[in-house]
Amino acid sequence: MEALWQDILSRPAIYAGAICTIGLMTLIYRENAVYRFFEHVFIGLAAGFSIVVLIKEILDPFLYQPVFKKGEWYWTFAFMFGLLFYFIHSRKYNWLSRLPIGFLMGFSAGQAFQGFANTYLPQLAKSFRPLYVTRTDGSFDVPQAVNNLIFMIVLVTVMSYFFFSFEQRSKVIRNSAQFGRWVMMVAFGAIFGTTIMARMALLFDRMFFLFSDWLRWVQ
Amino acid sequence: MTPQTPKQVTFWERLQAIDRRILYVLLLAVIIFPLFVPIRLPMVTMPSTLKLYQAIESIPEGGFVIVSATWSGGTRAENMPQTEAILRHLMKRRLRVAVFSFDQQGSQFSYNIASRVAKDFGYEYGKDWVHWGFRPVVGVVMKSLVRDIPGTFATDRNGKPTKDMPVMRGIKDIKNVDAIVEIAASGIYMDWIGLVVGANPKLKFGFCPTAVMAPETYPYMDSGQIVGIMEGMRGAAEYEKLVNTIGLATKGMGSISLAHVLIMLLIIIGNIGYIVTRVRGS
Amino acid sequence: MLEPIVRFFSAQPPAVLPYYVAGAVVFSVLLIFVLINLPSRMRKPLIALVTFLAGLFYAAEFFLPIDKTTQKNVLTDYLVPASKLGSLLGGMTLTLGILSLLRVHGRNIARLRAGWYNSLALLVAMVAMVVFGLMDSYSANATAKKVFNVLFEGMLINMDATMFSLIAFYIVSASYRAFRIRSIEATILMITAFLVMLGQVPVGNALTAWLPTEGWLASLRVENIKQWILSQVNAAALRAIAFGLGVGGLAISLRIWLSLERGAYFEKEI
Repeated sequence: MEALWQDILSRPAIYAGAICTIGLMTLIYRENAVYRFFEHVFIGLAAGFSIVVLIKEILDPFLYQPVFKKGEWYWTFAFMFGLLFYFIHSRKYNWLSRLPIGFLMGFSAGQAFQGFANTYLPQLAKSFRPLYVTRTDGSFDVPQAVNNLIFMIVLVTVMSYFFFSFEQRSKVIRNSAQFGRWVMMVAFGAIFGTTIMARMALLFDRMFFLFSDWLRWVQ
Repeated sequence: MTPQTPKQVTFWERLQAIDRRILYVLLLAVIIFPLFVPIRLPMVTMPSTLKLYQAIESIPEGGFVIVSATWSGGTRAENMPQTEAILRHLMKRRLRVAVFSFDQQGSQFSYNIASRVAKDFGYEYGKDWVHWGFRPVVGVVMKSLVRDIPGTFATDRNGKPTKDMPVMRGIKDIKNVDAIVEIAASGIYMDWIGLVVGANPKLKFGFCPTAVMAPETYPYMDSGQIVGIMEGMRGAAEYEKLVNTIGLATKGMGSISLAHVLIMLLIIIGNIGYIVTRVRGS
Repeated sequence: MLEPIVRFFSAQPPAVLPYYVAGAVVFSVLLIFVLINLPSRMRKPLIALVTFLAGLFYAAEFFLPIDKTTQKNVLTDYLVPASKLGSLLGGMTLTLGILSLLRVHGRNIARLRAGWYNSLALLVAMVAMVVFGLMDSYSANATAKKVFNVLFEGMLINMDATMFSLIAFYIVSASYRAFRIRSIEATILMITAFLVMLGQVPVGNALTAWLPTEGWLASLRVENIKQWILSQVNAAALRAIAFGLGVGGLAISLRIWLSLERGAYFEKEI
């Protein structure tokens, strides 16, 4: 028993993590009181951490330091403007929170023009692929040419699937849209495959934590 | 009323309705088993991972790299080995490293990981690496760092001025940055591409997403806007191999392999039951 | 003419700083008081104006020509202050939900509603994190640092990771129950998913490891098939979707910037 206490005192974070992990994992059996307790603790810790981050990484460097260390008093206005966010909790003056929200939305919207130009124009340029491709020795590179052709066909057919501005009466457009739908399924299948990888990785991490970090049964 | 006789459930119907608790136990078993009986199979390095590695290799010694760790505990399994692997590579190559995060937890995480890796490589804080802390709004910071890095990150995570730190020597704007590596569980790569990447044609932008996000980033690697991708835990395992280390990702490949096999088998079993039932029914 | 204004809005020495800060607070409070009493018809135009001016800054900064010698335009020097302003405002949204949490769970405890002890645990956890989190940063107390480590690394991070890991169980169950080859689309989706899954893991790679690594037969190795699917078919299909998303996103941004957007949030009477 004493050895266990020694171990707990030497690795309190690991023990706390293990108890929390097991507590939350009980949900896979069914919804229960233990899970609900740990769920509340989790929300409390996450909310508390937000306050710590707000003070340490936002208010300190962007308000306290500039105002009280550098004398840049005008940042007080920005802080007071930010306080308007908290009117969101007032039934009567709720609309005041829309001023800073609108301000931040405006900031993002204003950046959209540059974002669009820099993101999509190079994409567009790279979509025009040559169908006659040569190797360094000058010979015709058949596999690359076929790949380029497939790439172009997929691109065009998927785009044709999204022609919603007019009724797709033409047989060519209809067939193209149908093919586009099929190749989209290839992309979605790829996303499904990688999603499985992502989720399994998360579960592995938990099991590794329990059996290696906590119990030390495996390395 | 005549009592209804319960419908006989056939074997093929049962195949489609295995109890969820059995599925959960099977999943736990295939994840846990390789922890005790390691399955080490040779792993092929994908071109996407190799491209990222080669891009980092091409940076001259002393070059400046920004690492952004926009992830939280929820995706730790994938993003933590990625962060560690990329930092190991950067520090092994004796490059100057600046870490920061657009996620509140990511800031703490990346600081802890970078401190640990820095110790292994004898990196000195302020001289060889720095942590710029947390920034909550993406676009405004990116727009600003393109033009003025010391102004955008005037203080480090602990409130110390970065201006006089040796690691920041000669760093004025994005033109002085050799590479940016974003490790994220979100679509933040679009913001980097839209607001930063085009501003310095020589800048190499690498992305380390969770596996679920990897397919959507391929169009950007095709266009050269992303130099390489480390895809989730698998990408991290490949990168660990490239930098000669065994981390969480490498250790996890056995479990993940078996879990994939289990899911494929379950889908096949369910479909066999479905097809046979349908054929017999018709 | 602008010099007195510029001097007024510049850094002030410590001797007069408290007066400036106090003045800014008083002025802001008065302004808020004026806003509170603003007639309803003027509220939406005011929000639209603030949104427009904020968006105009970045739009103009992008569109205005750059001086070739300085590589700047008239707005370039204001990008850093705008970043600081955005960071401060964005950061202040982090704790917006805290007041709701305090109100809901405080009431649960005060009225001893069912599960009040869970609410108490939530509040205790929150207070503990705030106290030890700040002590970790602003004091040299070794015990506080250890407790913070238990709260952050030990509890918060592990619980966050566990919450997400639970999805693994549900995705296995859902894949098994819902993934049926009922149509051509479902069949294509399943075949691709299988190929990608096999290409991702060493067990899958081992299936075709006997094939040569060079020549046309190498294309049939499962990891190469996966790579081909991702880089040729998937990349082209997702690029086509991205074009639509990009144009749509730009249109939405324009509508938000000019306050033309419609919907519950934008059309609500204020």
